[in-house]
Amino acid sequence: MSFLFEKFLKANFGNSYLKECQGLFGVPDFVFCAKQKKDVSIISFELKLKNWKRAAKQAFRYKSFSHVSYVVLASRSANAALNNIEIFEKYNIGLAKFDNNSDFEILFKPESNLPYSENLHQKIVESLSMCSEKSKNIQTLVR
Amino acid sequence: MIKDCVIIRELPQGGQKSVYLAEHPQVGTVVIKRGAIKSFISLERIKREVELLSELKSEFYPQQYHFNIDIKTKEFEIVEDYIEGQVLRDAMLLFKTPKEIFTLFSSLVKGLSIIWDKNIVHRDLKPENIIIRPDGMPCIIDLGIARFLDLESLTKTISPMGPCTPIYAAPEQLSNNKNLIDPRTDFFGLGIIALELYLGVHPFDPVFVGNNYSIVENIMQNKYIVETSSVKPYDAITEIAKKTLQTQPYNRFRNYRMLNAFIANQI
Amino acid sequence: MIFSPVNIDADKLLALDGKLKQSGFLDPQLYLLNEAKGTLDTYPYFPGNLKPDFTTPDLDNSHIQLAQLCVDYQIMNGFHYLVIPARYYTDNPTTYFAQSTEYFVTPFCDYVRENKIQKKILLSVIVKTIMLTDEQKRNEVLNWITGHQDIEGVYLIFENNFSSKQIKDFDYLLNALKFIKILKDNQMEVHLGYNNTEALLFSIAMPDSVSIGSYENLRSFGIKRFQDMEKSPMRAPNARLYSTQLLQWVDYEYIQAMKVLMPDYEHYFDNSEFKPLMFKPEFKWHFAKPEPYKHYFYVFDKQIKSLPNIQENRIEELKLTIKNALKLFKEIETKVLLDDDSNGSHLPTWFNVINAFQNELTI
Repeated sequence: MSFLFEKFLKANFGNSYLKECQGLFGVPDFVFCAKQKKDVSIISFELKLKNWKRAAKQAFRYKSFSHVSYVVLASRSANAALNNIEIFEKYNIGLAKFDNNSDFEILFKPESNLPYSENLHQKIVESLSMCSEKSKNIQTLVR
Repeated sequence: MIKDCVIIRELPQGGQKSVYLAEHPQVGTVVIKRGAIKSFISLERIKREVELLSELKSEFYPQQYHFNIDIKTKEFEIVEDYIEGQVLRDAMLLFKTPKEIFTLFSSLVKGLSIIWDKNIVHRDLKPENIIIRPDGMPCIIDLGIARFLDLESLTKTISPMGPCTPIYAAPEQLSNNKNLIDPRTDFFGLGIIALELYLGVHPFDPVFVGNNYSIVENIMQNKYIVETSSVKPYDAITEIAKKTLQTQPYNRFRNYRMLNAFIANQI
Repeated sequence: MIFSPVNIDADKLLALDGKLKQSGFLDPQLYLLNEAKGTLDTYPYFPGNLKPDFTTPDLDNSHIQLAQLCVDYQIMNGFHYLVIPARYYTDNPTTYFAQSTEYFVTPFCDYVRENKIQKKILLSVIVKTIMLTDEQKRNEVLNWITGHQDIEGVYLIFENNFSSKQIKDFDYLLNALKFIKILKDNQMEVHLGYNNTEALLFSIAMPDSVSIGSYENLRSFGIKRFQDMEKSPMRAPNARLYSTQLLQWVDYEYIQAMKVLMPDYEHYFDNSEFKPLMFKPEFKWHFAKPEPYKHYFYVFDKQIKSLPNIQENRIEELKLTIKNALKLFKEIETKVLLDDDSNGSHLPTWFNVINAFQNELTI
């Protein structure tokens, strides 16, 4: 799933991302950086085949350094999460499903929030120094 | 020593040992016991305990004059004082009330603590092994014997009443769990005796417990009575039973000091 | 105070103020015979000092000498109790208790008796999880402990192989409580080592003392602490802060989230002289910073000391504390999604354990 999703990210949003970045709060599968003029948006993704609850908890952690955090579930297990969509709404965590045909569907689009930890946010921004304006379509991920 | 004794008569003990009443010119009336050693306990350990026991000088034990083990023939030979009095088995009615029972036990524990302090366990406490002297004080006999006989031999011991089963044995003795045998094993025997004195019947007797098992099986299953149709339960007796008749030693009184403290409280 | 050899040089310990040592004892930490990590081999009773590459057969010849060295060192420090060491195995061999008696308990107690040393003796016991869950193994260890008449009590260490930071296993916790109770019924002193927050839970079985560990690896017993692990890289733990109201350590990143999302977030954490500094925006949270630990010592010590002395009252108060903690977690989780190592997921189990133990007491 990870391999396919990476391809999807590259194709749709660009190259400004890091995989499994250590030293933050939790280990996000993908952290994407989008720059619009002077504003930098950090978007994190947590991929899971089925354990949506665990994914949600991990995705919440990424809000320490991200503006937007998404749980991306394998399509076949997305229903369980959908039945608990209020949790994603409550904590403002994005929910999307992704299948083997690289079909990506957003089930809940979160708002952008300031990261909770200025410290960690700075850290990731520095790591993503190659963050460029060549990222595209990021606005489709944010409400 | 034995050569100087004049045998008076044989005392009915039978089974693994022969017991004679005899007269010694200086010492007076003595008891001579002879028998075979059938035990898995190492002979080294038996010798050590024999030495400790022969040094015992206490009114709670018959004075020993001669205690020999022949390692080659695997036989033991004991000469000790003859104790005047009644076997507890025949004097049970003297200790019916809780106060009488606890008073007796206070003395018994005092006497037993002498050997427990030396890390020796009696292993064969029963009404037949306790003599009540004319002054009411107990004397513990047959201390040495049990260690020479393993459980199989103990069960084959014939008494005047017929073949003996170890109906005062603790579960760890019945299951031959040697590392568990310590003074708490003796507490179990004391617990049975206390209840038997109070109730007038053996507390693990299936007739009163109300099942089809044997006494020994009831001991293994920890099924006993604290009252009968004619005897009501008495708190302190039930309590001492609870703290001695536990299958696991760690659920009994931990040492004789704790047992003593309990008994002292009742008197 | 319990002194930990793996954390301090033997000579340094000897030089410490007697006042600090006179009401405490040494945790001998002789868990592994032939591995002496860090400062362990500065201690004279460590077998490596008698003979290099010391192994079990060597114990046959040296156990008396080892015991004497161990007693002598403890006497020199003026500790309140003398502690008999315990050996660690991943799985105890069937001869474990017989060997422990022969190599440690007997020579130790004999030496103390022969020299008429008037100090109370505690026996170290590592309680492995299987001893709590398997009846036969539990009986074996309890009969062994209570059969030793020369000792005053035990220094009890419950081995913790759980992957979660708080213990959530109902059977483990309930059996641990029953274990402590049985030893207390035997009129033995019970001193618990390597405790974390569960010390509060264990306190309802009325042990004589519980420990407050200075570092995370002293709040949970795991043999890895005493082994030389050259291969595995040490991952720095996250900084966490203990809250007596929440009965939990909260990862500081969650505290940052609470700061943004909840105006009254500070109220969930205790006051101490260290709190103002830690809650300043510029405070660089890091596991090696001393303030969170000092704060923990101060607030947890207060929490333990404020436990009622009477068992019934202690139980009721702890139940109230847990109920309150659950309520507070509910408030926090309206805004912050905590993971299982920072939330109150251990608390419902603890509450059930307390109820089950209360039932045991009334039988």
